[in-house]
Amino acid sequence: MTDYIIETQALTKRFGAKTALNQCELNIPRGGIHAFIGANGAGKSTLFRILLGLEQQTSGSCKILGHDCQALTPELRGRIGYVNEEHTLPLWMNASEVTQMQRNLYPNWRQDIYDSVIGHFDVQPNQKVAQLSRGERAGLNLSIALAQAPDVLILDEPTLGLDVVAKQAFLEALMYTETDINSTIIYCSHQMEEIERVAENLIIMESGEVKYMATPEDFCQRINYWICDLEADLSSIANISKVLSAKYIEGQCHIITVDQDIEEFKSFLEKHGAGDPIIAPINLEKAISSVLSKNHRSPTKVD
Amino acid sequence: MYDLFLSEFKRYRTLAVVVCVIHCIVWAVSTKFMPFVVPHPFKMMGITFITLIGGVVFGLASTALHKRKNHWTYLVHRPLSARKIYLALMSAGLLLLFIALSLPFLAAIIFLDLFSNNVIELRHYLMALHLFLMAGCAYFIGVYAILSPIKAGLLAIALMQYLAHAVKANGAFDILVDSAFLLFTFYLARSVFQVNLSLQNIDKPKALLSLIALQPAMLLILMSAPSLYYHLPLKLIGQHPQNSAVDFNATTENGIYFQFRRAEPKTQTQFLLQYSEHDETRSLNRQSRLAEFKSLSQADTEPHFSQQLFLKERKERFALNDVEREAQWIFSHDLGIFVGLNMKSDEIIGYFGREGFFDKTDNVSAAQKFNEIPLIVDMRFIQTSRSIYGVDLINKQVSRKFTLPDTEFYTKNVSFVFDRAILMSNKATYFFDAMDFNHARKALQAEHVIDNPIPNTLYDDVSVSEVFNGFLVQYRSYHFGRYETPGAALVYVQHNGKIETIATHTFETKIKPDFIAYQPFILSPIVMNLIDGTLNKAITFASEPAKGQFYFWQRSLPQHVIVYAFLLMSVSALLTLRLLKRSPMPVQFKWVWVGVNFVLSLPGLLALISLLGWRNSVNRFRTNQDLNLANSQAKLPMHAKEQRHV
Repeated sequence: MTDYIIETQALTKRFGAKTALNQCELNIPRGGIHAFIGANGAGKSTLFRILLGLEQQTSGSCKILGHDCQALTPELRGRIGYVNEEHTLPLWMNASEVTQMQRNLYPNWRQDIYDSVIGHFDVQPNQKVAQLSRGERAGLNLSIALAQAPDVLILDEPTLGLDVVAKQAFLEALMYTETDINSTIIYCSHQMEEIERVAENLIIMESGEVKYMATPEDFCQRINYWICDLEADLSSIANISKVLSAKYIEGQCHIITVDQDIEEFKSFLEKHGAGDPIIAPINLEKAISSVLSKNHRSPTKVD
Repeated sequence: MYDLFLSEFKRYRTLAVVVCVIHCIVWAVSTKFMPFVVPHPFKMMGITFITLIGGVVFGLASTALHKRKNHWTYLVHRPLSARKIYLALMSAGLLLLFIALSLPFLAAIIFLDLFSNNVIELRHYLMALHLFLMAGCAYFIGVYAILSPIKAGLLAIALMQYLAHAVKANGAFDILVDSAFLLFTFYLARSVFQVNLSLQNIDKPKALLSLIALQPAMLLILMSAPSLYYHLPLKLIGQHPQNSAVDFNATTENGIYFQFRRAEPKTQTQFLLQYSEHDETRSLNRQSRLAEFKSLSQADTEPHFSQQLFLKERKERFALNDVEREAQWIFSHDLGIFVGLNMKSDEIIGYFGREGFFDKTDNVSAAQKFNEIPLIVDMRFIQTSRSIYGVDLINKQVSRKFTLPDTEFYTKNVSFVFDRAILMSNKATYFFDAMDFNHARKALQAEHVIDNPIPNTLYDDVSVSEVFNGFLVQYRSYHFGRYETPGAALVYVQHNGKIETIATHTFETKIKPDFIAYQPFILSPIVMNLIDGTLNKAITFASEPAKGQFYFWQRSLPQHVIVYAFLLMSVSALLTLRLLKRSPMPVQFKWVWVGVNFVLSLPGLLALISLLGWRNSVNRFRTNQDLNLANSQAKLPMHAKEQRHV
């Protein structure tokens, strides 16, 4: 059996003229929480849809649990959980009916996990799903998804639109269960504090490609945040391939680099007249946003 | 699977119950105006409309709700095969449709059966089943239209026309046809119900079914197209052939049948007398200027079938009304006799069969039973295909008036004109004295028997005028001499018993050019005519023969029309080949398509184009390349070039 829960090779998906996934190479090992990060349109949701067999790739291969995503059997689907941002559930049923339906469907149903996770949320069994708040619905959805004891659970922006309390409850429930059933969790979110809290592995996508895959610590180590006194045209520095951003803040020059040799860059700065360049600590959110904003499309300047 | 079924059912059960209640209220209110069991065309139309629209709308709406992106993922991403998911949803859908649309109808029938003396029989229950199956077909078409990439799939609803109106047979046959359609539409919808909706393409046998489903709609569109490119433009510029109808007169040479039909009866007679060499022609011509003309009955005489769905019955065949006693004599298909029912007290007041009235049904003999569904004429005659009976409700007597020879059957109801009762069969016209016919309680002899001038089953019209020495009988038909060759004949029936055909004329000049007149045949010679001949006419158009009269191989068509049809079939096949030339489908399957579109002709080709998508098809014709493929290949290098790296 393969060691990877998800494997893609040269995975490409085009919608007419638009390329959503471009030669995407990805190998996600079993276990842990893997966070998918990327700007809107980076190809995350398309990848998930291909993983679930809802879309067919234009070229390349895509496997989940060692099987071709286009040939998922009902048994395999039972081992893959999926939670979307809308927390789609049958609104016309009450919580106990929905739970009963899922219990009948999934042979590995873990009532103990369900009871434990749903305990984080104020969901009454006889409450209609339509009457639940967004946070309660998210909780019910997560409880059901985890109780299915899936080998892999894909969470596509599950905390979107949740308030702070609901988000907190959601993350606690998620983290507790991860240690209990050892599912591999694919977590997609734009909330950096969540990523920072739960993710063991970061997968950063951009323009349909996987740009980085590393632990949060490793990733942060590759990003350097320089602060120095420099009076020069920053546009020439910003165009250097390993410089993610360069700007003046309160008279000081702030430069963020990636995979740049520290000594080499320090001498480069000093050579350009920078006084006393120092490396400041950078948090994950800033590191990721620097990477993602590097190639973000911006309007062409007109003189 | 059961859980999913239950979930889907719960989703719409309130709505279904509400519709059911509304339906019941509508029935209850409408019964105040017309008893539930009385068949009426409007009732049939209304029920059919509600059933079809209800089924289609529910199919469209429920599937559209599931098809939303995240909802589709929620639906299909579960440890159930697509087949089981489909079965669960469709079963729930059918049950809901049953509750909303069929249950009120069925409940009304059961109520009347149990708590009234109304004649409720198998055909009433079959009607409820028929409505349910039709709703099911419409529902599957709705599901198909939403899930299929071919939005024109909704046009497959045109198929329902056959179910609703065209099939006229025993109720069990209706149910058989309904069931076949239900299975067809069920499979059609199943073929597009896939986890990955983007995978649907035409390179599978299922597309063949889609094409067959679309074909009748395409044919309908094509058939109505001449209104746009022929009739309307000519009407607008005042050159339409119908405008010349006013020019027709008694001395017109080479007249057109259309003009002839529209002319006054005396003009028609004078026109025909032009071709007469009879001694009294001049006298008859003078008399005809002042004569009165009367048409024989135009009432429907098409055969009805035992256990025919009750709403497909004609009202005229339903019951004999006895206004004085507030009673109705309803024909029972089960018993083969009429059952008398007091409309106020709901009591059975008696029965009558071929030989008379009786009080109980204990020992109804075969001789008493009508062995076919009789037609009620003027509330005092019962006409079967070969016999006519007089019914005296006051004295409770039934008398057989006249029976045709074995090889004949009536083609018109009895008509009373010029003190004569006139019966018409497929071979002759029978004149009786009206007084005898109305009052004598015995078998009658015809006063005159006129052999039909042309052995034709159905004349469009037969009119009679009285002259000094007898009667002039005029026969007209669209297919007088041969297929699609209209004509008329004038028969002089003298009081002394002498009967002569004094004039005949066939109209060789047609009002419309052949490519318009024969368009249904040219467009789809095989399918159109097989459907027409087999399942009866779904579409009424004047130039076609009456239902079931001719299959395409029985029609004597002009040679150039056959050539046109063959050319169109060939062109359709060739264009199909061109369309599919670069398709990745197996070669054998391409040839199946070509063969199918040779048979289906232009409607088949149009259906295929709608399957492929119009833009895609045009592109294939122009560049021999698939549109999507062309786009993606063209754009690929640009993306590679634009790719930036951190």
